[in-house]
Amino acid sequence: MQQHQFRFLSRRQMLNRSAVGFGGLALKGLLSGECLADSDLSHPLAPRLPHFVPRAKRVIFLFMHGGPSHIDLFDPKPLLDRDDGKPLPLQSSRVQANKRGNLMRSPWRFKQHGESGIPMSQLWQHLPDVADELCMIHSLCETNVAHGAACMKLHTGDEAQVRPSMGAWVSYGLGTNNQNLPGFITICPTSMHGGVTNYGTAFLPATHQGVPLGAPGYPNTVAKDATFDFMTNPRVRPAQQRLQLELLRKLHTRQQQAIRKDGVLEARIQSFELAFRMQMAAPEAMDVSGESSATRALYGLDGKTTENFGLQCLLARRFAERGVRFIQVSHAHSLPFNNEQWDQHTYLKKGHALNVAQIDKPIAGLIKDLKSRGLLDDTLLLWGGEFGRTPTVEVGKTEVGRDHHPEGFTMWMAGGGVKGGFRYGKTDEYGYYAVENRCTVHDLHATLLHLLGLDHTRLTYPHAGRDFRLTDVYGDVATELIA
Amino acid sequence: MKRLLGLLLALAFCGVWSPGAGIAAPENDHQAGPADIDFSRDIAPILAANCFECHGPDANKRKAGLRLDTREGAFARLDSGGFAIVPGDSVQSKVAKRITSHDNNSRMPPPDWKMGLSPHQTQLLSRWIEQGAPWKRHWAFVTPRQPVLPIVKNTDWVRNEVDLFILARLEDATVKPAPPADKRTLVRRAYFDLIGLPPTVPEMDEFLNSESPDSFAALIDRLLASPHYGERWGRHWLDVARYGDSSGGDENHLYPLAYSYRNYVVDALNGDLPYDQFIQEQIAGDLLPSGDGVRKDYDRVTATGFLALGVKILNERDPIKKRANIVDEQIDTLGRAILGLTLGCARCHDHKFDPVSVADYYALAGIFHSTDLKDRIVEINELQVGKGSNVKQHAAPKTRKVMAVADGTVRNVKIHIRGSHLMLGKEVPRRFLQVMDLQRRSLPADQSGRLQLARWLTRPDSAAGGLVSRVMVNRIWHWHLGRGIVGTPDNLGVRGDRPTHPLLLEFLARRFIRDSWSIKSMHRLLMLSSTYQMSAQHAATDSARIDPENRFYWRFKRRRLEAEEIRDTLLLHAGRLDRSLGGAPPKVKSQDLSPVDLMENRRFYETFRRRAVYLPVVRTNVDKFLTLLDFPNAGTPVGERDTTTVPTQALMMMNSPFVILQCEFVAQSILADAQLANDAARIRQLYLRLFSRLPAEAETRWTTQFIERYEQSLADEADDDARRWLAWTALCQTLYASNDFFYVH
Repeated sequence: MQQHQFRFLSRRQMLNRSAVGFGGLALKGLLSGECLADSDLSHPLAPRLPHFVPRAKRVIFLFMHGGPSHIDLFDPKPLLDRDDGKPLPLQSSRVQANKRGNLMRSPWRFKQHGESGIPMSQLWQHLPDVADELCMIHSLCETNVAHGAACMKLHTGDEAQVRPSMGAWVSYGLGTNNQNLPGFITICPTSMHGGVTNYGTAFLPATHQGVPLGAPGYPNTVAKDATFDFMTNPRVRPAQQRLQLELLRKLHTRQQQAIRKDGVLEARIQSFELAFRMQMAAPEAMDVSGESSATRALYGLDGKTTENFGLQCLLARRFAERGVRFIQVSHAHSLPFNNEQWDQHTYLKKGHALNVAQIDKPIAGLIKDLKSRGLLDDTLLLWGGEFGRTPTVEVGKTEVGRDHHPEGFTMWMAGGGVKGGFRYGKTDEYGYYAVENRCTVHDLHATLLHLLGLDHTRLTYPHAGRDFRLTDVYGDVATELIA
Repeated sequence: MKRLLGLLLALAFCGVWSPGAGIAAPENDHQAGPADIDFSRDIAPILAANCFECHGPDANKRKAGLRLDTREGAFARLDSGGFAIVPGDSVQSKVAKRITSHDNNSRMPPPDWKMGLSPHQTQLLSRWIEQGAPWKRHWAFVTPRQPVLPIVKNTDWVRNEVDLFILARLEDATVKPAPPADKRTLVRRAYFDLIGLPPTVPEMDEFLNSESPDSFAALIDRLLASPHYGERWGRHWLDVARYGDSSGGDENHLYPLAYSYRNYVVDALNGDLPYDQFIQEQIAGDLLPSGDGVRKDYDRVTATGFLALGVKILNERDPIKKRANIVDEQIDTLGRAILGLTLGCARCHDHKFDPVSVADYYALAGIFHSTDLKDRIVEINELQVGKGSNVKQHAAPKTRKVMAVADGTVRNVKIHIRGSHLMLGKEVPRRFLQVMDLQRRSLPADQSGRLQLARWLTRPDSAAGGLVSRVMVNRIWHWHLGRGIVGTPDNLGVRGDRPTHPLLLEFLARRFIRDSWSIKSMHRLLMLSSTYQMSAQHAATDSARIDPENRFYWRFKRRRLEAEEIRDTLLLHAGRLDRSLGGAPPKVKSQDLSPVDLMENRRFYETFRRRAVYLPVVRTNVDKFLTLLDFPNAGTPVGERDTTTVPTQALMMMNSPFVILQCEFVAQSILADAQLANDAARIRQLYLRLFSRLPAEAETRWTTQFIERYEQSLADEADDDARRWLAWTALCQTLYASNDFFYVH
């Protein structure tokens, strides 16, 4: 225990001097140091040892913006079928978003899949192929019924204040394996409901910021148009940039001689060298033209409905292969007949059918592809949205839909050390409240960090007079779902 | 008699922090002799780090009924009999026994405690008890007293009192101060520090040609009188006030009226509004007696925007929680920005380290629950319409809506157990922080108490007023010298850094109050010192060996330019900076940005030619140029910006169209200048403009070669002029990327 603390202290001391950029190497208050005597600064984004043996080395978070309906996708409720149209026989939520009516059965039938018999609604055509890889968590339970606060809670552990996101914490805790790419990439993020805060660093060093591939937008950027910022300069050729870097190095060397060896000034030179290399590495990682047609088909790149999310998933795999530590893929477009992707207050049938059609094949393809490449064992997948949806119908809508519902909903994990074909936790007989193995977002975060070899109570950062954690003062690891 | 008493007091005070003590690492400092043990410096930090978690202010977490954060608690009889500390008797003191015990069950701190005591710390604690366990309150909660001025040897170096304190410490450590900076360096430093822009070539020449011994003092006065001063120093305050033009949280609505507060801050700094009034207006400007003929009601109401413009979760469906979160944000900001205390910690439990109880928090919360956020319509008189903009003066009074607060239904609130609005404890009457309000003032039943709070915070001879003064002088010091006397400018509490020069901090806190809380006087005091005017160069001297981190200020601490300085300077040199003042920010989009909106916002940011302080601060969509260069997250008070060096900054300097465009303008003007006869002259001019200095011979050679090679690389470009222009643009861009430009030396 003590030893770990010391390790963290020294890292903290280092970080006080040296923040990092994606790709490493940055110095906070650098000049304070002007004479860091021996400028032997290790890269703060360099890969770091976790607290204990990890089960997963990286995370791909498939974020379903808007709130997918657990009772229409993964959590069948026979009593809901029976009591369709009757009032909810339970105490309803204290705070509600919209006016709620009576119970409404799911329009879709459910079937059990795989050897494990994981239930899925008939909307899913491809995910059943990998049912035995999935670890369902049916007992997510939260309190906030609004998108924004719920999104912030899911991404940062706090629903009201600006706090570091989980990807930033993971990057801070583990560094990254590829110094030419960011440690945390978010593919086509949304600008809504917390927006940048949901992949920000808040008070953690700037280097751990999620780097958006595709400007954060509502609707989010289309995958084929997504680029990193400032990555190219069409007017200057690499050879010309080389000339600039050479001159810069000469000018800095002269300065170094004048004021003796200086770790900070050296760091600035290196940051330019690194930037130069990143300009090569990023386009290579994003270039899917070399992928086989079988692979492209696996992700649905050949289909109109699936090509956008399929490309996002394929890019996620390519970043994962190249050592990026945390990759978020956002399913966060808008639908023509309602707003946020999964936010079906109305048009439940049409909306959920289309949403599943967009992601079903790409996600199944991603899992199969990771598995065939031997990456699934140490890549943790997390799927879910900021809340589920009510088992009740919303009042006053011509096309039926469901309200936001944080008190009990489903997310799932796969790969990276979780039990495949496993169902963890339960909601009650109507899918309203989580009743067994209740899992808050803090518990989810604690479990995610645990799988990465990090003790959520020890991954701390000093700020405003105290040590902060992703899980605040809460969080229990859901040990039962770990393989 | 009175003088004698003062001297004695001052001496006693001096004993607490003798300027010479504590230069080496504290652990070695006391090996000289046991008499050196000082509670505040040596003992309190050990107790705070190892004991307070279970034996501190937090009553709910307290174990064995023992509290070690107060003298009474530490010396009281234990529930289990005996005493934790018996002054002068370590054998009878259970603390001394526990910390040396080999029995894991009785050892303190417990074996699994994250910190643990070093053998030296264990010894220190025992020796301190042997010496009678002298106890002192944390320095920040004590009214500052005038310290005795230190005596130094090298009196020639001393320009004012600041130097006495700095030099005393240096001499004690046998560290020699660096020589003064050369004139060019000093002028560039002063310009950036005070107005955030470099001197133009003629401005520099004017100074160099001046023979007067007071020319630097005159320069400071001139810069302080410039309206750009308020833009630069107002921006510092806006960092602390977590200023933003949008709500930031879940939905990110624009705050279309917030800019009036921003302009108020800029004007207040320019007018050298005394800091006590500045604080009073921001907390209770709407309640201050009106019609005193000096301050306008418009300004005073506008000032309360400070309380209104925090990050908010607008779509929170639980109104009680929503209100509690807004109040929490106000208390947290008040604490960190003005008092240098993390009051927000006490929302859920008694503060773990500072003497701030959960009752203190909800007593303050009552004041803010009795205050409503409100857009208010105020009358602007002619004078203000005319000020700072080119709008013509109007005869008839005009009105403007501003983001502000107003007293609402006055009520006390109940303690929220563990911070939850669903679990209420006992009601707490509205009042101030008890640790600094020994009289326990009570507040009138028919007023929120904001006005009384504002006055309590700024009473000159009080603990609270003293702390408010310390916090601000420490900030000013930090912004000028690169590191605060207390290295954690937003936290002067028990867990904040210890002051490197405690007596200097006391001196400055007193001086600030004595000089009517004048920020401009403080600038003069600091900048006219030898301490400020030293060179940043450091050859391999003994000083560098003894104090490599420059903790004692033996040379100037080079600082990287801030984001706004870099941006505004790029525009300035390109001849494109629009220097107009004040006004409302043009509309940009903040909520649910589509990729098209984002592109439009960015286009707007990149074509905005006024100073960066006038750019809208759309939380989460601030101009990327600024955020990549460590513009702070506007969600929380920031007294100390990060200074990162990340490859994304390099990518931006290499590839940003905004940067390239400004370089093109510079190249164009250099090439078009008929007075520059050859490339050497052009390079000389470029160096003067960008770096405020002349190029060295080698630099001229390298840059000339660069131009040649770059032009060669453009061989397929037919047009000679275009080749030249592109090459000079590339040169300019490279110089902008260099450390010479990026730092104030």
